[in-house]
Amino acid sequence: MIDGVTGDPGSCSQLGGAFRSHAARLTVLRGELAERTERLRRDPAATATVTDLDADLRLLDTVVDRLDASGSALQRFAQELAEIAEAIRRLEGEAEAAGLELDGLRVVEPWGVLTTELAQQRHRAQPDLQRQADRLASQLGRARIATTRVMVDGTAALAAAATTSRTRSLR
Amino acid sequence: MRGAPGRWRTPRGYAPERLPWGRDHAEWAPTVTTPGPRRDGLVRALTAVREAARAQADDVLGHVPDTGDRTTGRAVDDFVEQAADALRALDESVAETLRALVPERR
Repeated sequence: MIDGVTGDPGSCSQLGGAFRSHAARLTVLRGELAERTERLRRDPAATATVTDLDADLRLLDTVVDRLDASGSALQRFAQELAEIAEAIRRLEGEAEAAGLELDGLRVVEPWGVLTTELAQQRHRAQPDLQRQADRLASQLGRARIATTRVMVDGTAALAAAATTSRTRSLR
Repeated sequence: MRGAPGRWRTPRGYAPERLPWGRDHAEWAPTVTTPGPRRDGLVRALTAVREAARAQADDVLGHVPDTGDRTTGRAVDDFVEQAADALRALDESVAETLRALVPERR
């Protein structure tokens, strides 16, 4: 579902799944590389190679950790977006039944001439519907903050690891 | 005790068969940079990491997630770009290791 409030949970879930599947593939490859590195560690003639391999493994570890963490965060976020989108659809139905409508997460009165009875009905229903909308807005805000934090932390960690790796290559 | 003259020994005097290197070691491949099964196995493992890193860098950039708000969207986009860059850094780092391991690849 795509709308202005909840975005497209499917696209977020798809990216999260890609991150996690890439992390899983790299974990398998890391295992083999780590095993071969361990065997070489006993060979004094392979010290330089082992140093290079250790650096590769450190970068691999950071990439795997951050891809997996961000993938999980995006999948959780997608799940929450989908649940919130469903709750918004239900709220839209309730608002419509009360002669009101949703503008984003604001419960508003539609334009037009109305009877006194309909005006009273709207005024009675509006505060409760708005409270429900506010709860959904808070839930959405928390999900966004949590996801953003994981992404920002991951970006910083990956940037630092890539810089360290490239600096090492320049030596 | 020294072995027969002309027989290869490690700098510490160990005969190849005394070295705990397992199945991928060959007597005629005294170090990991010498062509042989041990080097070939490592080269295969490193090449697989490079191929995965390159393919994954391309793949993550192909996604267009819609988070529904600008701040989260920007954080996700930044992460995607940085993840692709880190995967490229991994490819470069492993390429360096491979070049040192297989100088004829230069």
